[in-house]
Amino acid sequence: MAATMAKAPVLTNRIRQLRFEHDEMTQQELADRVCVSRQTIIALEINKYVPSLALAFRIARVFKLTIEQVFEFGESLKP
Amino acid sequence: MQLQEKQAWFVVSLIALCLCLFIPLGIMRGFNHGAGVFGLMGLTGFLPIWALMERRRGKIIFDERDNAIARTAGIVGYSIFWLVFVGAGMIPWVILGDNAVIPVKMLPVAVLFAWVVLQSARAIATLVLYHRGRADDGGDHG
Repeated sequence: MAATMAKAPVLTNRIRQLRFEHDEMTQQELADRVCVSRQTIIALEINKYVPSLALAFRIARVFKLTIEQVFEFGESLKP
Repeated sequence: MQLQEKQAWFVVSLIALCLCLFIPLGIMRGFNHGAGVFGLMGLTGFLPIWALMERRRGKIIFDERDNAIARTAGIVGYSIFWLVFVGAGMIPWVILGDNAVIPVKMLPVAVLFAWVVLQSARAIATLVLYHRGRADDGGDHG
């Protein structure tokens, strides 16, 4: 039987870079502005957590960008 | 550290303390008496008060990631509990046969241990899930 290759969704983001471009905004400041904990921002920045659509919109609005400019959706091949 | 993670540490510590006391007490006074130390698990009743205190300090104590972790940990905890529960029900049957008698006093003990298994599995799963999202913590505390 041939091995099947499933495509796993991968959501990456530019939050860390954008924070530094916005007056070196701290993780805590961003967390306060989008009403989540700093730990959630940390997990997002290292791509360990996929945000809800609402949170993705809130983050994008903080940086005055669209979701696509902050988050990038890709697919990686996983056996 | 998020409140839910602190609470998980509290539960794990409490279970470890109970086990540490249960074994020597069981050896010294019999395991029927020793099981009484699991009454300390009643301290978990203070966890909601802890949450209220944290909320009064104005912290965000529960966001969507905490919710996702709580849900996953709950599923893991329940799955492990179910495995142990079915095992505990069937293994005596295999060993003792279907004509054996189990004392009624075993029923509350079984409920207590089922609850301890559920709580400990959920707490450990919570700690593991929080740990996964912290590989890079410490870089920018701001």
